Amino acid sequence: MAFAPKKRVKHREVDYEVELVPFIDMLVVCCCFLLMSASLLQTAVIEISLPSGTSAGGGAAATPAGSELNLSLILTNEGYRIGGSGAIMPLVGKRGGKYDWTKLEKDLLDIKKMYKDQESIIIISEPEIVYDDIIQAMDRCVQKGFPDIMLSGNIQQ
Amino acid sequence: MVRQASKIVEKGEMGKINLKAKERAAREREKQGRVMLVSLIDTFVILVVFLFQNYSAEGDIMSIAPDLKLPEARVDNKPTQSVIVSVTNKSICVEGRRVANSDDALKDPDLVIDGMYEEMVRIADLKKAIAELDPNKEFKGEVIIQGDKAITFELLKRVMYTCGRAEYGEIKLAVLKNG
Repeated sequence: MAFAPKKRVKHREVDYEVELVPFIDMLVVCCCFLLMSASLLQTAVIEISLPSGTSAGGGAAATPAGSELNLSLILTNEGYRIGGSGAIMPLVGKRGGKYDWTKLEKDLLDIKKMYKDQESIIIISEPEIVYDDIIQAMDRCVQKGFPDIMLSGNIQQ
Repeated sequence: MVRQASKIVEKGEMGKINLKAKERAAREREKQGRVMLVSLIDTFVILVVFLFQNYSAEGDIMSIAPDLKLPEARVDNKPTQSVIVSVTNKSICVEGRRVANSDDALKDPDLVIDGMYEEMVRIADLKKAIAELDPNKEFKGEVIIQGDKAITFELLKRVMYTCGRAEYGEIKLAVLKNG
């Protein structure tokens, strides 16, 4: 009686799926933790210098040390002016009740091109000017290369 | 009898066929009803990556009062631990404690806001006392002003002047980061 040839042992196919449920659980926990600790409102700060000691009462605006240009941005109810070293540029009026920030950016950029070392600017504001407008003006100054900002409440004509 | 028997056989055959069809349908249903876990995981991973990008290990240094709307700016300076003064058109608070009324502060002929000045001096004294004990915690006179969008420069000027008088020389204005 002949023996039958040995049947080749077939490897069983591994039919195994990765357990995804624990992985999803972990991701859900991670999501919850991150959502709870997320700070959706990101805050930042603008550093400024104080107005000169008597400025609130009516003294002269402070001059930053080493600043030859004495660059200043004057915010009034009608619009803004840029001044420096005794000269004041003409008033740029408001458009639709808002300051022309695009023009201000362009003006500041032009000044920065001419005076590359100039980093300080004095923002002079009328008492009625809204804080939001002052911040917008400061933001433009910082963006265009004048990070050293001073605030003053005196308008020098 | 033979007829009856053949009917039973027929029924049996039909029953088998029906059973097979049912099994097939059940298998189909099983195939169709499977949740697509991979795409779900993809969504979660994207969400986790996005949240990790925005995650800050330091946590929030400033908490903003609900009635206070900060102006928006593109600056990127991060706030540090400082004394926080929040100013709205209604009130002035130092470290969350209401110290003055904004209307009264504006009417006062003197530029120093009395309640605020007293509170800030008290905090400054405390900080100086701590600095004497621990040289690492030096009193730098840092203050963050959280001003509402709608306040006027006049009020801001008075707040800043009071800060200056209370030996807080390093003034920072809080804004919401925009872009």
